[in-house]
Amino acid sequence: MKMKTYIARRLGFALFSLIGLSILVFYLARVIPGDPVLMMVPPGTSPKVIEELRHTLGLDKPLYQQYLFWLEDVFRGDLGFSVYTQRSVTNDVLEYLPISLELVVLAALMEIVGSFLLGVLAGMHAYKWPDNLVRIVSYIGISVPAFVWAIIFQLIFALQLSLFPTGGLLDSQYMDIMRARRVTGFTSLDSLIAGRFDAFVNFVWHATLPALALCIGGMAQDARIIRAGMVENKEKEYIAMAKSQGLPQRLVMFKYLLKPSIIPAVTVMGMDIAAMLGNAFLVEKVFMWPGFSQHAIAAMLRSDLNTIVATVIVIGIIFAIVNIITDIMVAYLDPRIRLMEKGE
Amino acid sequence: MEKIRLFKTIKQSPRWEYAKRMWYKFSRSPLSIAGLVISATCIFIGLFAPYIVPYPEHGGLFHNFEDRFIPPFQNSNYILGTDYYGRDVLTRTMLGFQYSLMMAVTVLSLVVAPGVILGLIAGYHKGTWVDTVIMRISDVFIAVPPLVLALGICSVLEPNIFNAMMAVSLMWWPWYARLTYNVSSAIRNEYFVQAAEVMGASTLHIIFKEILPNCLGPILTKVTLDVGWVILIGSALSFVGLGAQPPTPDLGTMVATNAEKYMPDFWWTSIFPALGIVIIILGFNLLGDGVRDMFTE
Amino acid sequence: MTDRPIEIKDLHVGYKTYRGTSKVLNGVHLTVDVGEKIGIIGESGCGKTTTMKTILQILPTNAVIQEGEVHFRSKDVLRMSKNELNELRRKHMAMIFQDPTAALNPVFKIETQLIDIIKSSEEYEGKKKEDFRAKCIRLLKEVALPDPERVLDSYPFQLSGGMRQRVCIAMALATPRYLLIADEPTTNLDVTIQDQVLLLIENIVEKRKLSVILISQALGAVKGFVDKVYVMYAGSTVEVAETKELFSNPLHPYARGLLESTPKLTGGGFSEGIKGRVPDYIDPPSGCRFHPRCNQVLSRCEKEKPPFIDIVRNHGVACWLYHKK
Repeated sequence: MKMKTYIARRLGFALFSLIGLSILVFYLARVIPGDPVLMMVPPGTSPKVIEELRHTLGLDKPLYQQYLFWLEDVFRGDLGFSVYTQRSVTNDVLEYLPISLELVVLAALMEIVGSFLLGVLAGMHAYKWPDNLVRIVSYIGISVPAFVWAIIFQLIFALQLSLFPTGGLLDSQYMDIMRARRVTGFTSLDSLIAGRFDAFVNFVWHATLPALALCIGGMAQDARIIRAGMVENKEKEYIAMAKSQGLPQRLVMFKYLLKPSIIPAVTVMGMDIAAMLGNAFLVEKVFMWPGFSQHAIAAMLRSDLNTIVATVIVIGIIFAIVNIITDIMVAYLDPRIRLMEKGE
Repeated sequence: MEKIRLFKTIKQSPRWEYAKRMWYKFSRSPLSIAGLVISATCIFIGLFAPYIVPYPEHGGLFHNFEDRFIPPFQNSNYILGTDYYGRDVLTRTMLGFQYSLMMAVTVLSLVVAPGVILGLIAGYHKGTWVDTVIMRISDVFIAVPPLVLALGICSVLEPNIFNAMMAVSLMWWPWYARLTYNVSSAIRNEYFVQAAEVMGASTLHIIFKEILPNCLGPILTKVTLDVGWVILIGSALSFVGLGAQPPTPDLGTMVATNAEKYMPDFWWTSIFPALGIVIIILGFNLLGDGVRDMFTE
Repeated sequence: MTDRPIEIKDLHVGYKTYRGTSKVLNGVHLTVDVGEKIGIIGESGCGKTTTMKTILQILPTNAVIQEGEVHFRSKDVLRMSKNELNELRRKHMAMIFQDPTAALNPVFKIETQLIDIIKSSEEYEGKKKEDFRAKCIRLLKEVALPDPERVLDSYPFQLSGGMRQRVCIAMALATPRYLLIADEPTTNLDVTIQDQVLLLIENIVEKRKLSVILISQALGAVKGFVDKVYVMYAGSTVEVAETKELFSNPLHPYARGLLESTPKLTGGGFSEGIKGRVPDYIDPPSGCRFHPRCNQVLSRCEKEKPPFIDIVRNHGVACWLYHKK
């Protein structure tokens, strides 16, 4: 029952942050670059034409009114017109976003599984060689930025060993097939819907290296947090108590020790997965992954303001969703958060 | 009489003793020492790069096409090889340290003080409207991954290294506000703070003399770790072309431009600057863990 | 071959810390006979809990057992295999911890924790979930918890300290065992609840005819309940005697000081107490560890550790004062 209030609170905070964020980027995009009307018209246009254009676009109104108009459009699903692609930004988002998301989801799955395995392995054998090995791997994993991993993986596994493709979403023959069979926009889902399992495998083959580059830093960090939690909690009185009752070792380790130990890691995992949305910008560039981030960077380099604003807002929304899912997971695992009134 | 003497013996073991204890805790882990050595070396290179690099003129628009694309470890003049323009990769990487550290120092010196002060104020007024206003505003800046907002800001401005620093600073302060808020709001209810309040100490005294000293450990730890992260964000901005522009010897720019054009045949032009980034982040990460050890327990 | 549940001889246990090894236990002797009720008294930090954790082999990971023997029915606990140890914990002994808040797992319901204990100890094939729940409720009723249904569905943090300790007692009783180790079961509770909980333990011990080791700072409680009292100081057993004998005729200077330092409700003001405090275990005093605080110190106290000997029948002491030449 209190879970509902908890989630409602979180949603409220998220909505508030998103509105704040939209004000911030709106301001940045409308004020800092200079007069938007002057940027639209060719140089030497007469002042009268400029004023008319200003009026038709509603840009002669006070800034807060402009913001409200814009917000209204956003709620109607209209994110404006892209100078770069010469079509509606909403269309661009719908086309490119799924392709980025499926990469991030794959990376997130790899991160969760990997960090869990490594962390538990190290925690079970604390101060022995598996622990030391995981520690070294973690330090390297944390210190090497995602885009450097991307370059290294590409160099070794794609260019030198030719085990994986150097980039792209699919091989060209599948590209044509999938373009015709677009249903959800998610290549992985569409290929399964179309019954083209070969295309799905081809997609996974293309996605493996970028997903690995995306997840490896977070995986290393989370493995260390799980390990630290297990080592710390091993000394807790409730573990001594569980042992003193003669409970089987497996039950003590994987139930009474593991559950409290993974709670802090879940929070960080959520943050890491959310941060992947940022790192995707770099990794997609290296692997020429035709996703939203690639598209957004191209638009940014061309100062396509509507796309820039939309990018920040869309990523903000996904970020908020990831954070809320994380909060729900943590609350589900930790009754102290779920049942205590305090919240924050 | 006895009491006075007791007091004096405590006073006699001054800061030196404290520093010794801190050093002891720090130096317990060899990794912390490694971190100290690595980051000190990075700082040294950053400070004196123009004077110690073999070819200072290779930092800018220099070309010597006769010596281009020399592979690493083959020519003793260019240990790490040369790039398309025949510029020494080692020289440019070392000069890159300078830009990276400049970025870190600028950003951190801009954000730490305001972030910490706002966090302290919010923590002191926990549960009131002051707390709500400050913390909700800071939430806005962390509603997207730092890199995305920095990219957005850089893209509406002119892409250069100065704007990149401003953009990163703008979205970095809330992390300090949050950290300080969490620590200070917990300390706020401790007895020694309440005691000071009962004794009629001013708000300023309580915030800066009672609460702040107890937040210094986590803040210092974060500052150390953040040197690495700010450099990472900075190089990421350059990497996508929204930070420093060529021919500036910025690590991220070098990694990106060379990876795009000259992989895999001339891999060293990209991989060695990338290793430079890795070394800086690794060094400050290890150092940060050591600083954390210093302040825990 | 005896049935003695516990026989500890000259136990030495240390903890590895970064400053060096902290030599906490320095010669503990302890025997518990079938059906016997033992009390252990001594200042906090003198190694009582460490001794108990050694018996059950639940010491923290940085503990090192340096020497000594711990026997359970003539079998050395320190050399038991994992399975034997688990059987010992499951079937023979149970421990009530000092701090019930720390002893209950914060993220599982009481029901889950209780049922796991029951399940691990008995054949549960063919039993239904309701059977276990019914058993849990019976247990909670036995420890006089009101509204057992609600307690079962609660998490530890939703209960009061007294309720938590009752739950811990129920856990110790969940399966039939005959030695109960109660490690300061009331220290962390409100004064008003301390007596209730102690009374509960006494009743259960009487009813189930358990052997018990009661560690307590409340000398009054010990006096009225146990048959035999051990006095520990800085990791060594310094004196043992039957309760009456010990309270009327303490021999070891530390035991005397300890008994005198207890404030008496009948008046007489505050006593002197014992000067100083429990020593540093990393660099403990040589010889008898009590000598720096002792008011009857002899020259040999500093050099040699006094052996633990019976002065009269059933009254042992480790002190040079009682050593005949």
